[in-house]
Amino acid sequence: MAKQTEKDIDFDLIKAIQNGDVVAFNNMVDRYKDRLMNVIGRMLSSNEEAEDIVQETFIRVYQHRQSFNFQHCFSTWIYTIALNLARNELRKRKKFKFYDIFEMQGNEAEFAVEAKLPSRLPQVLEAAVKALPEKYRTAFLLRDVQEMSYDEVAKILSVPLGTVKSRVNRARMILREKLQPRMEEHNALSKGTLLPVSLL
Amino acid sequence: MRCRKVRSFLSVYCRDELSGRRRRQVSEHLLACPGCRRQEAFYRGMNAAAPELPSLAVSDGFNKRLLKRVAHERFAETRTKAYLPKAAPLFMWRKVAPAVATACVALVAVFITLSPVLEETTPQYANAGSGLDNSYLTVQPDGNPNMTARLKEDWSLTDHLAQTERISHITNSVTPAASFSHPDYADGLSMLTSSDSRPTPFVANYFRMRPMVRVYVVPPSSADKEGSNAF
Repeated sequence: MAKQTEKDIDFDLIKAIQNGDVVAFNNMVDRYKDRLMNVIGRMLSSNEEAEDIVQETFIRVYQHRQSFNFQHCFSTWIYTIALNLARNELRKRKKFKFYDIFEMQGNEAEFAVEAKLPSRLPQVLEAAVKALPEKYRTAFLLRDVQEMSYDEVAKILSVPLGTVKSRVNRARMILREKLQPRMEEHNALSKGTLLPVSLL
Repeated sequence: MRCRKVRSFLSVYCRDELSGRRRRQVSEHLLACPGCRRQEAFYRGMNAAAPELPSLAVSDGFNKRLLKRVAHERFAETRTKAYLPKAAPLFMWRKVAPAVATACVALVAVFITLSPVLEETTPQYANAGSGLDNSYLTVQPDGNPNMTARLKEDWSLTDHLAQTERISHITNSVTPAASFSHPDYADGLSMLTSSDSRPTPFVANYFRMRPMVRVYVVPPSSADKEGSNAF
């Protein structure tokens, strides 16, 4: 018997959800909650808000389960819903600026860490990704962090394939421009030996 | 290939997403350029680090909270679809049709029953053309409410009646002694004679009048002529 692909598993689950199976819905939540959280959490930079968005995404999936089109991937659908909700949240933020006293305290701690030399690249990369413009950040997160195909990213973002490639490439170049000087400085301080950045 | 161009392809090159010919060109350039190699090393390190970004996870009890909300949604759905009665349509023809048919039959019956009564109460207007009564030619609309109502609607009838009355007055005034050459009656009489061929607008109006009035003037005798000369 042929092994079920991710797409097949998703389709089986959504069919069961359409028939009112709550256990299948729970399985679906387990499959996607962390993936969505990793993208939305980096877009909104506040875990509580990101969690709210992820929860709202699953509620929307449940509400509109009957309108799911089986000609498309379920992952494309759920990521599109989540990103649209996140974009709406970001748009609201532009209108109203919220200041959270706990967040400000957290930032101070973060700046203190960043003032030191980077100990590991992923942490530094995390901060640099959050500083990317939204359209480059989304494309980079979906392609390089979630490791989706360009086609899928193009469908999720509803932009042409070439635009996705261009945005991802641009995001990588911005990250290099930001991070490479610091890496080289770090290398110079560590007695001039050029270490592979992956080992930093 | 120059460094600038090679560096624009480097991130794609490190992901093995470059086509064969260009990939070979970049590889050849990297062998000879330490600056571009440094950038290549950075991109490869970043590619390796990107999937290892610190994982963000939802808080404990996320599934429980979510399923609680889903249960609320399910309850709302059952409330709207299964438990509430279906909305009645505004107009159900099958139910209304017998009542409408009964009402129509009743109306027809009432009309048939009352039609003789209605006929009796219809006002009797002057019977034109019977020869018994020609007072309608000169009747004034003021005293007759039926005529007044009718005349108010049709101004041309009012005009015609008034003109008819004028003609009647003129006809009564004309005596055999009157002369065609008299300045007061010349125009009026010539207008009333059918032999008059002058194409005046009054003649046209006259022929459109109902009823038509014809005036026959007896030619004056010789005695009258003498009288008229004396006049």
